[in-house]
Amino acid sequence: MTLALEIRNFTKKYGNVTAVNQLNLKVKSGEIFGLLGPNGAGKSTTIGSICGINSFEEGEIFVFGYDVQKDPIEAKKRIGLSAQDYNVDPFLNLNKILDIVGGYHGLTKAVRKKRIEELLIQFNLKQHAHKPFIKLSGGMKRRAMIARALICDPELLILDEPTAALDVELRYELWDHIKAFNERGKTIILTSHYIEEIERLCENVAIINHGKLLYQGSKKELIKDYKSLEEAYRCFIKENES
Amino acid sequence: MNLNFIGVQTIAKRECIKFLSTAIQSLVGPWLNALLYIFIFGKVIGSRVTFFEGRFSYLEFVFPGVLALNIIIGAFRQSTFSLYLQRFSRGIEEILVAPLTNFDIITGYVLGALARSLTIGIGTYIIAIVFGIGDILHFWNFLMYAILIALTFSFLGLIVALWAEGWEQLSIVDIFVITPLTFLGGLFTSIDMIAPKFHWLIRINPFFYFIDAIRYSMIGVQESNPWLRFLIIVSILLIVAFWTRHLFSRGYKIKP
Repeated sequence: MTLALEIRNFTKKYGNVTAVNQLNLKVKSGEIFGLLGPNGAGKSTTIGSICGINSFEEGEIFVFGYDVQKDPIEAKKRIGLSAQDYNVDPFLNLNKILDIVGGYHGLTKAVRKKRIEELLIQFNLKQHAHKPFIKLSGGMKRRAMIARALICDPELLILDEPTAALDVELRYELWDHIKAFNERGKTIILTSHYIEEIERLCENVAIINHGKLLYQGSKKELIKDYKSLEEAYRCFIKENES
Repeated sequence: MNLNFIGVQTIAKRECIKFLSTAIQSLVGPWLNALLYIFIFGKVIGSRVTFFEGRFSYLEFVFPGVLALNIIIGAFRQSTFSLYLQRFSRGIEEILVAPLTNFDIITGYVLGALARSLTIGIGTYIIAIVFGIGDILHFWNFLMYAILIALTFSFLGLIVALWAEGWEQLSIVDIFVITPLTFLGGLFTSIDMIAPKFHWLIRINPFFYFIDAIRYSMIGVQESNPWLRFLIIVSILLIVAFWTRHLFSRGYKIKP
């Protein structure tokens, strides 16, 4: 079994506050993996550390076998991140944003041009390619963020709240994109506050709260004693809080 | 070490796009300042000052300092504002997620700042030619020092961008360090015009050597030992370069 992601004893502290405590996690290559947890659980901190946005002192993180601290370039070559916040230059147009990020990933001009064309068509953004990011609607911005994450055709796509504040239609549309990407053998890690989203898309899930892993395993196993994933999730969190 | 050449080129190109898209502020402003200096020191004050036994006009003496100041300010402001804005907007995350080493990232920013600084320098020099004061006696020396000075302040700009916690702090170094030290470092005056008991004060000011290097390259007048000047300028460059690299490798204020 090839692991897309392996986290061993990962601890992240901000000053005296422990955001993630001794987290161990394994994500198989080719799956859609759901990472669940309430606000402040440590999901974004973990994602940031996988991607090189956060530093950390304790533990190890491997992406397709590459240590993100010892061999960050090889690890980052395999990662695409769609962050929760719009961390882009809002005055650049979409075409330019994709071109620049493709450049950061070392793609040649010809490859970038081809990839941008494909992504703009795939995400139905072609007619908005020359609009500044700030002028795009909420749905377009979300799609643009995912398109940006896909510019380097990553092996591991990390989607941090990709459908936050989207209407139902757009959410369904994005789910189709996620599934299509996964069908190409790519691994996806998905965090979402919409439990339904995780339930529909993911085989395996992890629940974290206060930086601690409460559950990791198959979704089926998790919900076997409950009516739904939402109920199972709420019970786990409630138990942990008490 | 493998350089992500396209990545570096992209960062530098993005920096160029940024300063070209605000050309009035980033380029025309410094050129206009140079014009004002030329008008005031060439026409208003310069015509009344006899300088270096009449070998040069006052404007010829002052202009290399104006050019050095423009090179310094151009490099410093580009790297400072650009990196700080990226920190502030979290746009830096785009770069941190990409397969770029700290060396790649720093090189990209510095090349962008160098481009702005040298564009300002070339424009300022063209203005000097128009006013008939554009002679460069030691061209390669001039080019070397222009690049060394621009590099130094590109790195310093990155350090300030990492250190700053607000917009006001970004301007502190500019207002309280660069401008006063340039003015006191011989921009308008020869060291001979200062009382000897204050010469040490001029000689511990690094900006004195920056200005002296450009002035010597242009008009052949030097007030410091050329080897000492070279050593001081290269040492400052190395210090700020290694300091920048150290801060990036620690992820100082960019990687929480």
